[in-house]
Amino acid sequence: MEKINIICVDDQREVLSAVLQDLSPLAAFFNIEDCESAIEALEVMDSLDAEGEYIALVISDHVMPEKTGVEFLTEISQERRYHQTKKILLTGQATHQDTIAAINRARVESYFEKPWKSEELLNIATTLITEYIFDSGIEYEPFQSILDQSVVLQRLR
Amino acid sequence: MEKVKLQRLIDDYFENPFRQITIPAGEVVLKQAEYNDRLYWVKSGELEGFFSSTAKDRKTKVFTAPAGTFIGVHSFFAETLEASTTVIAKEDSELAWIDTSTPVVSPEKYGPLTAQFTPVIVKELARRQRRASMEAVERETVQNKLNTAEQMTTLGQLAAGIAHELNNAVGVINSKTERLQTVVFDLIEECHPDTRQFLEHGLLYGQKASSSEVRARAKELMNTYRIDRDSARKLARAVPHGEIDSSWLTDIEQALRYWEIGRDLHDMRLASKHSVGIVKSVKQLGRTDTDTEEWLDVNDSINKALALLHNSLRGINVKISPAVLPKLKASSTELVQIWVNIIKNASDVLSHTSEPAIEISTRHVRNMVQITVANNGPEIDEVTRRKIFQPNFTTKKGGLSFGLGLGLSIVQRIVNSYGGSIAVMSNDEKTIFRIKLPVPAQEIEGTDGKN
Repeated sequence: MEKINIICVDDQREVLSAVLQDLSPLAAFFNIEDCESAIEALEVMDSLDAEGEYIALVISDHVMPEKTGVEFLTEISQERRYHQTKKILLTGQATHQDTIAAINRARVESYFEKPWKSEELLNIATTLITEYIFDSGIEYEPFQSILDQSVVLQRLR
Repeated sequence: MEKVKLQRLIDDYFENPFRQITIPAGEVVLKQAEYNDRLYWVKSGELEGFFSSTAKDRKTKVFTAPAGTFIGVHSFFAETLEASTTVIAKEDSELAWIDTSTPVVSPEKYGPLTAQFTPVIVKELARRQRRASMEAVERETVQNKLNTAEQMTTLGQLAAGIAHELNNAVGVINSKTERLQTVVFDLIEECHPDTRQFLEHGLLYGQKASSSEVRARAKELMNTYRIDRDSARKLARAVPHGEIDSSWLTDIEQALRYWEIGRDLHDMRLASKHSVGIVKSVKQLGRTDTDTEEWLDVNDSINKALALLHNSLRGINVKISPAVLPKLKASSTELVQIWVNIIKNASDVLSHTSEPAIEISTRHVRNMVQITVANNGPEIDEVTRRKIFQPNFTTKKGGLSFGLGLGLSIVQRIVNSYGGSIAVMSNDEKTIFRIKLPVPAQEIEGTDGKN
């Protein structure tokens, strides 16, 4: 069974722990890393990648000191090793311009506004991870019970 | 050349002792719209011209005429023979005049009277023109100021309206969180008294460790206690330092579950408190909230602010040197708000500073309590410094936290309401905010009495 990671980034600790809680059903299958800044996330991702692990999904806040979420996700989308990695922007304060940049430059797969609905975030995350697994050619069987079945069926057709 | 001409006019026309008068201060020389056939030259003293558009209107001062200037140029040469302004002597003045019956001096050499006085007329015209232009400029400036003020009032009222609505919602969250906390506690006490300590731990301390600290600690715990990665990470969040009490390890999953409930309640309480604070500060924009005033120690209010900002001050070296201070009669909330704003700003600007530090000191100087908050962040340039207390001015353009640009304008308003003052100094080493709050007179006597 391959090691698959989910990265969550938010500079506010309380928000971060709420995201972790929402994703906890996935924790049995995937490793969930929480980071309080984009820089920290890049370091964590780098070391995970170096150990041959997969980074399936990055969920990031936008308004953070030093590096914004859009800047961070743009950087990821330009890196070859994170080419398949799915990205979710989770924010309460993005302007219209930020949103455009998120779609055009960071190429986010999904966009959540704060406050978000737990179930929705979990569903989208599951769908995106399932897509990642098929996109990267990882053996899906070990994860099958947690994956988004509609995506699995579609891909197996 | 002009000076010579002017001197000639004065010699020829305004040196006749029969056409000279002395006017005591306060006396009216000309009345607006009344008959005047004289052209006056101010020999000494000073006079002022007033204009009112209707009889009942307040008089507006339109010019001052010091020695060497002319009065009545318009009524004399326009031949309206009607004063355009009311002229009153500001101080005792000597005037010389000519009227329509005064003979023209050497017309064969200098031309008719109007020709001789052309420079005076043109000068008067230019003066009136300049006055009109200046008035237009002034009117525009005033109008702009008015517009901004009006915008700010509208914004303030709007914000206060929203704050009021939010206040009810936040109030409910706040009180229900408190209630829920008691209910959960009672319930646990009844059903699982052995897990109470974990819940309490979470509720009291919340999650103090940062994500990177947790990562490091989790690795350590995995090895020491032989537990799986997930539990180790959760345990690292709950107990970031020191030995792990064996009670955690007997049923680690349950212990962590209850700790998480406690932490969540802690976070909820913190978040609702934070919202109440924001709502309150926005409400104060719309109107002055009458808050209860009490005798309090400024040092205590600073400590309260530091407690509130605990989270933002992570990684910053905060040094406090408090002095023994006389008590002030003030609202604790307002004082805390001042410190929170200034210290929060300081912590925000320190994000790129290596070895960030904030120094807070208090002093009692004569009848003032002086508080300085210094940080070693980047210099605030002069342009910014000048605008720093203006409402709707912000450097937090990214929208970080609460970048409405209202913080320092609220601070200034509060400080002023206590009769105090606030100043900012900045260079490339340090930025200092200095606040002075007056100590009421009876309090000074009070301390003297005690000593």
